[in-house]
Amino acid sequence: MTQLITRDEALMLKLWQRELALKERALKPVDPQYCIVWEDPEELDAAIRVTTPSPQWLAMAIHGNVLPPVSIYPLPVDSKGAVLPGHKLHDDVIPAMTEKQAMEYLLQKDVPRSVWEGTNTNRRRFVICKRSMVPVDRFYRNAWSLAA
Amino acid sequence: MSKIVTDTFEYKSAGETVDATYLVHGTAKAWGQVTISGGTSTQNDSVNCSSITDDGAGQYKFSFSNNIVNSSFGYNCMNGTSSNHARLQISPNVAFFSVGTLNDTHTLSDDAEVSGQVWGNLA
Repeated sequence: MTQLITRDEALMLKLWQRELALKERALKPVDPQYCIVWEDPEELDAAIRVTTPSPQWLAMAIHGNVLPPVSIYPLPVDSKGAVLPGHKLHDDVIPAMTEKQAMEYLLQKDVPRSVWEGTNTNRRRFVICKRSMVPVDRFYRNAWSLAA
Repeated sequence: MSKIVTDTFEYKSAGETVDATYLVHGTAKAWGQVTISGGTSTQNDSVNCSSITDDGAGQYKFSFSNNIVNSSFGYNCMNGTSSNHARLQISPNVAFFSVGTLNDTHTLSDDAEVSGQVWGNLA
């Protein structure tokens, strides 16, 4: 893959500036092959959720030198939920990832911690799978559940 | 990356001006367009969206790549079918916003297309 942004340049930019720079430099979006299918232990009666990366974000993850280390999430917030100064969103970037690594990153960023870090149960709360494995018929969408 | 530092922009022909603050604070900070067909939702194009989560029939969550600084942001959401209408589903959050699409009987139901835009300040 052609290097469209170097680590040194990326560290001078904020995260959103990196995304816009790469969009301007015609970074080609990557159609995701995988999705995360998960259930929320806080809402057991809710429908199963399916998280799919955006093609633009996935392209940035695979390119490298754009995204911060996943350990910075969640950002620190105050009692009203506003982001506190001193967050590390723009401070560092990580190298290129494979698509599977990007899915593990996304799991930790966009899926609640209680889903992937739960230690109170041996029940599986999520699966990273090919998008083609998800049922196509949405008629009973709200009845989908993870197989035991 | 070069930078323009100014207080006001002026349109040369008409002499109309706009303060730079309007551009900084008035530009959409995130947007995404999703089509719902088959098993998973597909985000066709976006800015500042890391993922789309299909939360059930007619419920979609857009996660930000770059968080918004607080949840007091403006938003707009639309759907692609005239008989359905879109609304913001739950309280906005610095990490995501959710959109729901309702049918004529005000029941959450899938639509072929959903888009959302957010105006606010970036973290």
